[in-house]
Amino acid sequence: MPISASVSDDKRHVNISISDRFDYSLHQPFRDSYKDVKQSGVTYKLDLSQASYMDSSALGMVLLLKEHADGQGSKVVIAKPHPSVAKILKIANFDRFVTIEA
Amino acid sequence: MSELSTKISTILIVDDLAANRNSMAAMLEGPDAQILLADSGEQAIELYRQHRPDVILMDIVMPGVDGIEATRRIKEEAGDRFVPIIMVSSSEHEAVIRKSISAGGDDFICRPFSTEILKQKIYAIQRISKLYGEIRELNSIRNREEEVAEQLFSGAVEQGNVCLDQVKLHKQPASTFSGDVQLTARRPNGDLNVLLGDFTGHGLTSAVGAIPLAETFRAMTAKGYEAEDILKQINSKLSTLLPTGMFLAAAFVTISQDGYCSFWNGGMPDILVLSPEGDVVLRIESSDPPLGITLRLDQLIVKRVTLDAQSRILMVSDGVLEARNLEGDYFGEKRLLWAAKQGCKEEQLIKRVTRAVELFSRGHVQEDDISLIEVPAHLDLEEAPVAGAVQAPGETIEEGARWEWRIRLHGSNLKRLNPVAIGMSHLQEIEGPSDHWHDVFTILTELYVNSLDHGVLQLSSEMKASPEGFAEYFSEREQRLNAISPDSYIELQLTHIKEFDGGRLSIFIQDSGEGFPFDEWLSKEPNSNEDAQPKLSGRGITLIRELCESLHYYDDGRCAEAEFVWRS
Repeated sequence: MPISASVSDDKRHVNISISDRFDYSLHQPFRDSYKDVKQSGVTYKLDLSQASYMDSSALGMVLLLKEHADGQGSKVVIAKPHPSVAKILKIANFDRFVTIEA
Repeated sequence: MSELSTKISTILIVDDLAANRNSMAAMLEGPDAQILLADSGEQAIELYRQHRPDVILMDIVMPGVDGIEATRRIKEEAGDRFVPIIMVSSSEHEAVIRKSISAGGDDFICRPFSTEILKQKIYAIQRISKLYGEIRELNSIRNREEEVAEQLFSGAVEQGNVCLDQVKLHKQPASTFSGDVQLTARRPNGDLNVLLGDFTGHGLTSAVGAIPLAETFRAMTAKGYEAEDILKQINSKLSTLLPTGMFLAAAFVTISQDGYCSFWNGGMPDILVLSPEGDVVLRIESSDPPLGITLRLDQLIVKRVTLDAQSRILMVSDGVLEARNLEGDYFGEKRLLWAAKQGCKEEQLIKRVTRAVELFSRGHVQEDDISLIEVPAHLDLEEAPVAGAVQAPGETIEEGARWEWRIRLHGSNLKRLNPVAIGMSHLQEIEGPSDHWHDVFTILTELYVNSLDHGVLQLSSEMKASPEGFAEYFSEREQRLNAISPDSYIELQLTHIKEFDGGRLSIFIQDSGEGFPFDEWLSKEPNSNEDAQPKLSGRGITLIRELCESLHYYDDGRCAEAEFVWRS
């Protein structure tokens, strides 16, 4: 599966990792990876170190995750984006909406 | 035969042995079946062409063209029409079954079989055939509807584009509806605005935002707004309208009549400025997020530069850079720059680049919309196309009828609002569209820029003498605007009086600045060459005097009054 998600024992951290292409085909599994997490104060860590490509639909999916997190007082962090993905995030100036950790 | 076949089914039985043909025909005979018999592969193909049977029972082993070959040829001829073929054999060898199915056979039956088994097989395959026909029908309805919708859509969105003799557009959608939008429109003073937008994804859902986008872009350009105001308005409209996760990456270029170009890029690949030799002389990277994500988009970074008139501006969507070949490589920027360079030399930039993309990605499915826009850095203009003056039918306006409109902007509102565009919008609403507003826009703009830049902000127009100074001027202007004192103001007042066959528009403008020695300038004759290096924003004043019946400055240059008379 090009997407894997895990929740920490204290349920404060949700890790979502994506490998290969991050595009519209992951729409449903991506949403499923966080939609049942309802409590506040959660950090959603989106690990993109293994994602070699990201399209505009995927940027939209990140905004949906952010909306979900904002609504419950949680936050989203994009971790270690692969260089080609980092470039796409930079073109879209996404650092203005989401924390991006190199 | 069964409840499925309400009409007569035509069944073609193919076998080189008469005994086999006849026994199968006997099994299937009945009032609802028309039986055709072929004794060879060749005859089967022939009968298929003549009768288009509903089902074919095909013996595999025959001399000459065997059942496998005949099946392959019939399936090939049928194209996307479904012709169910049941392969009949006395051998149950796996290799035979595999060959039959890969040649295009839809089912397999092994002799000996009972009448009931054969009938049920035919029944099942006709059920699939019926579904297949329904899907085909639905698909063709959907395609027809999409085509009509697409025509309506591109009519609403891209039909109004202007200057297409000089601005070259190319678009290749990945599906019927494209998420890429290309727009061009002229401001009342002749400036050209060009927008290349790319909505998230493609297809119908990503196209819905295009209509409000095009309307906002056109209406605001026609009223004379500048890039920043137009983009902010588009952003707020799309932010409210589009669901989370959908947005518009866009690149915006203005080719000004004054010889400079403005650029803005939010989430698109770099806008490239190319020399006539095809070298990149400037690249405008994305400086802001795409539009429609957040309502809080206060400061857009619009870049103003003067360019060599021979330069070409190239805007592309990411579908160009991300086009892939059969090996999965991306077209990428290196190939784009190379093709662009060749294209500039041959003076067919767009053609060369699109051809390069096409050759590169040949054989690979196009995954995203591909669009390109080429804009010259300088426009050769005929008259700006503005709709002729209209009056509501039967309406007569009494001579001497008068209206006034006035606005006074203080402090930071001078940074936020453009009173010229607001004034033009009122003028157009009250008096209807007219060719004359082109001139009024120029007059208002010149007067307002003089008041703001030289009056309120105290900028010296001498700075604009060189290209470097030009950029410096605008950055200094930006800084002073940001630090503007709340006591600063500009007042603009329009008074319109209806005259026979036209009207008289008095324009009054006043600013809180320190004024300027207007006597020196006004004493000069328009078009006089005696002072080639005017100290003030001379070009502006000359222009106003040419267009207006009169121009007066008073209060040390803090107030100006211009009279514009128009005849329809």
